[in-house]
Amino acid sequence: MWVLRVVRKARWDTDRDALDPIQVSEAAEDLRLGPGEVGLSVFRVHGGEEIQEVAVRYALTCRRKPEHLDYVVFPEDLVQELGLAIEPRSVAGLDPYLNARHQEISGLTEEIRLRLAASILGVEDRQVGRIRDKALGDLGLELCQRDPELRANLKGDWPSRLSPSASRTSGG
Amino acid sequence: MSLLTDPLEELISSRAVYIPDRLQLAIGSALSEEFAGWEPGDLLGEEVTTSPPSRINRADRSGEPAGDSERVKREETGRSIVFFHLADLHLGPSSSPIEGGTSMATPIVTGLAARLLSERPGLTIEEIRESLLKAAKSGVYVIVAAGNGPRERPRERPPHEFRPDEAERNFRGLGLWKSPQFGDWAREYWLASGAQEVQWLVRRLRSERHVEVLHDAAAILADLGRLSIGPILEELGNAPAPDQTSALLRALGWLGESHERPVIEGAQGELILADLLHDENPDVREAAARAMRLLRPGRAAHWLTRRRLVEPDAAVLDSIEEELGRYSSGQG
Repeated sequence: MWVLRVVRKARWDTDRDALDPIQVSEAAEDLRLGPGEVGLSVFRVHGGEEIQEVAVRYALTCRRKPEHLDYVVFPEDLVQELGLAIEPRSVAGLDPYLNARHQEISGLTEEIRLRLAASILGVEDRQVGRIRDKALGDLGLELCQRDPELRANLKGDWPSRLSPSASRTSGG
Repeated sequence: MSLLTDPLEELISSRAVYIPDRLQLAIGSALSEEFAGWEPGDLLGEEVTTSPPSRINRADRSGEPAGDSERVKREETGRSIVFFHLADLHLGPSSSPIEGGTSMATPIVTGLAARLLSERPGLTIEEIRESLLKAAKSGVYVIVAAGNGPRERPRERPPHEFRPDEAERNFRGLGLWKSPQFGDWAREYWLASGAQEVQWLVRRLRSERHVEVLHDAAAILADLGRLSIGPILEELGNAPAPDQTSALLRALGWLGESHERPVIEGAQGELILADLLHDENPDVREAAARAMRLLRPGRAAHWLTRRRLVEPDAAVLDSIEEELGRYSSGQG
């Protein structure tokens, strides 16, 4: 099983070195909990289409404006090998598709955060990707046509950017 | 217990009690949930009494007769919940309406919680929640309802003392997509910012690495409009951290898409953006290309055309081409 974490792509690109402490430390910044968070959010994914759908839904329902959505996908086993718990966690108000895949990693300490970052960087076939902001508009419109209920969860500027009258190139 | 009859006056005269942020948020969240869907003037129960609950209404405060927009159910109280849009409330004959929204509802709820805690310091969050809800259903009670409509334009707060600790608390509400209510409260604080808060926010990003916090902060700076431009350019001129640079440039780019679409005047801002168009980080270069939407079209086209000749990154080049296309198609 693989999980997706929203990150800054440059910190996880395939040329990054798991043995370089500076690069590991930079990558570990993306595994830091946000204010008030108790667990690190990841989304369980199967295959490329699901990866893209999770990424696009996240961009439209968790962010207010179009920005490149960067992610790294890595094996869930890495988390368990470090003795961390990873469990489904429902989030009130979250888009149902995302909610069904949302997991939280608990037990992270400063040291384990670095070790997890090094473990992920050590996975050669990890997937690091980016949905460009300009693509989010078109992808979002397609998703809204397929799942009209998604509109109820759009955040910030997205309802107007993805309104039926909006240009299909308004995502960027 | 005597509950508030006039929230503002009561709060002003009440002694200060420290309520941790988390407690404020828990109470506010519980009340929001409990009263979701209620409209101003809705009554909770059918029984009414004749005791006047409150002096809160426009007539009392301004000396003017209450108009049609008056939303207070002031005569039939008893078991009623009195909802009031704070935006309708005037402090004096010629004053502007006080701002409505959760940022004002929070201190009201906090004030109630403060009174409870000052009388019974050992109460737990759940006990306070229950007490508030029970009191709401049995006595005279004033709830300030948050507006439902989107806030299209930021409004500046009346002159006040800038408090870094308050700014830091509200900064910590950014990026919380798992707790959107908290994020909305923080956002409301920032959208009412003055110049000091904006400058603080821009500088606070120097040490920030969390992608969602950076996104939210940049979105707020963009929504604040031209107020943000000066502090952002000043910070960009001081060799900011890479993540901070990208966030600030994104804010300018989004601002360039806004209806307001302010223009950066003067050479200094233009040169700062032109310099960042040559940054080693491709994300920074791409964001700088978009931030040039705030320059006069001829100046932006000048810099972008020059960069197009040497730009090695395909994605950045694509964005430069797109930006140049805006000018040739008249969008810029």
